[in-house]
Amino acid sequence: MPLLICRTCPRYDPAGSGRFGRALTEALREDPAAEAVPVRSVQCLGGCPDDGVAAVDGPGKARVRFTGLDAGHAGALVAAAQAHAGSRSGTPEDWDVPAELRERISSVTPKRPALEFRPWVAGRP
Amino acid sequence: MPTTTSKILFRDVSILDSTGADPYRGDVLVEGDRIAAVGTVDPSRTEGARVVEGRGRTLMSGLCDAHTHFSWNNSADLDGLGTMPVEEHLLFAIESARTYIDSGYTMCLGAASAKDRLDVVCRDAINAGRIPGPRYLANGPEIAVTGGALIKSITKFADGPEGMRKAVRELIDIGVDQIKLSMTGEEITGTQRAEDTYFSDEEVAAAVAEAHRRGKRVCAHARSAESVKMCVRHHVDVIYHASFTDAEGMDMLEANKDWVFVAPGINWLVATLYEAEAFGFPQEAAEAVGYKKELEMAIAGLREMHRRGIKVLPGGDYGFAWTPHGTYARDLQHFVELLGFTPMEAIISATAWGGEIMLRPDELGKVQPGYLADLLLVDGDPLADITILQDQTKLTYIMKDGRFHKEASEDGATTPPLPGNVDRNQAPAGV
Repeated sequence: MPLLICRTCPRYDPAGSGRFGRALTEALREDPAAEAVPVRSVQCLGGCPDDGVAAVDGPGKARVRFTGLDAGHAGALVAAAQAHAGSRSGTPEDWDVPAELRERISSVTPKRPALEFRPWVAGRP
Repeated sequence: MPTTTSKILFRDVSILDSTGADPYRGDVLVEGDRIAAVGTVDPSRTEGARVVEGRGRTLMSGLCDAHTHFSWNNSADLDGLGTMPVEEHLLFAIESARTYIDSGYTMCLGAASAKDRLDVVCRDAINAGRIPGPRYLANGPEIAVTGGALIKSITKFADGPEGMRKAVRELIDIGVDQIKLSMTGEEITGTQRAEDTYFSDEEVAAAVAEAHRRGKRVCAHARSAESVKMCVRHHVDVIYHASFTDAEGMDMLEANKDWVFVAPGINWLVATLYEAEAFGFPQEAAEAVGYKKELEMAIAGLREMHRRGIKVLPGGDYGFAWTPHGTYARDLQHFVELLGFTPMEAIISATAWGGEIMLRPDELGKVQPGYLADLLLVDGDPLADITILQDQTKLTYIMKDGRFHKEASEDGATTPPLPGNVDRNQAPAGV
């Protein structure tokens, strides 16, 4: 159930790049509940125009990205990572997204799209 | 600058050697630019060596990205690849090379350059030790036929067999290692359909024959079913995407799996479908032009390729705003979670098969005696969690050619992010 944190936000602010990740990581260090959550400091999560980006992810579970965050969201992100890990699919319908994050979901990336077309199994053209 | 030490001992590491063997504890001795001993190292050989205490961390080969564009400039639209002035573009490409090796990638296969010599110049500068970067096989602008270009401003146009021969000769003349044929469309263009094939058999055959005659390889942007078969028929060495491979094409790939490589660039499909809304391409628009269908078919086909033992390698067309440089290792997560690779298989495809696609299978991509010392010391177990390779702070040591590109301090301090600047990270209009 890694919590992915952008290490370059705000990417479009040359003087401030990296500021968000450092502040959020520091806030997580001060939160005892965060010890159980693996954190990945990743280069970018692609939500740059609304900087302050983090995501919850996990094997077989949808990646859910949040944007417009700051260090004050550390506690909510820890709760989100734990709730996401306990869900079946990882999609927001499957778990209790903390209230302060609900409006900040900027993408949901499912892991297992339906496989409807398999010509090498169904028959030869 | 990289540290130069003639003899280095990685002591007490978990050796992930890319042979398929389970990791095991031991030592690895590097002498000069090569791995001298692996496992149990005779103490007499370690005299005078600098010692890196592994404390059980994972030592593995550097990674390979089989679909690299140093000059894709994190643009929010396709045309942005062509509008950057050459001076800024070269700086960008140099920074991309640095980002690759910062991310643990020591091998990269150039999949097209946005301007004639950007790839070639970067490769030569890396080889000369003037700039940091991975081992690189350089490409030139992609070749397309009239009416078949994805982005006109970065394309070398050629028509007919004679036109192809001339284009290939011109690219070889500027020093490329391989040739890129842009054979099919791409849905995001809005005009060029992914399932349309623009090249003729005669054109592919001529381009491949001319390149191979000069000892160069050929790769192709080939999404359609017909283009995949055309690639195999004419011995295109590396097939990019292969999203719509049909039954006949699958059989052809399987029958030729001793030489053909497929590098799907799967993250492009995933991120363009689900994660590009912030840059003006919402999921509904991506679905409308066909990316959902393409992703589903690509996943099904790539799983089948994997089942049949066809070599599928990570490498993801990185370098757009929603797939920016530095996020390369997400491909390995997709291989595990979408394509059915085990974490070990994903790592072998990104290391040992990387050595093969770089044409140096006996000296790149494995932690074995005699191999070149391109190594990562990872603070964690990528077999237990493949996402760890997306976190540069977990890559505590990065070595290429026996020289450290990165040496993390033992107190766990992290390297700062790549400094932002206007040239590198151009905000799209309105941001």
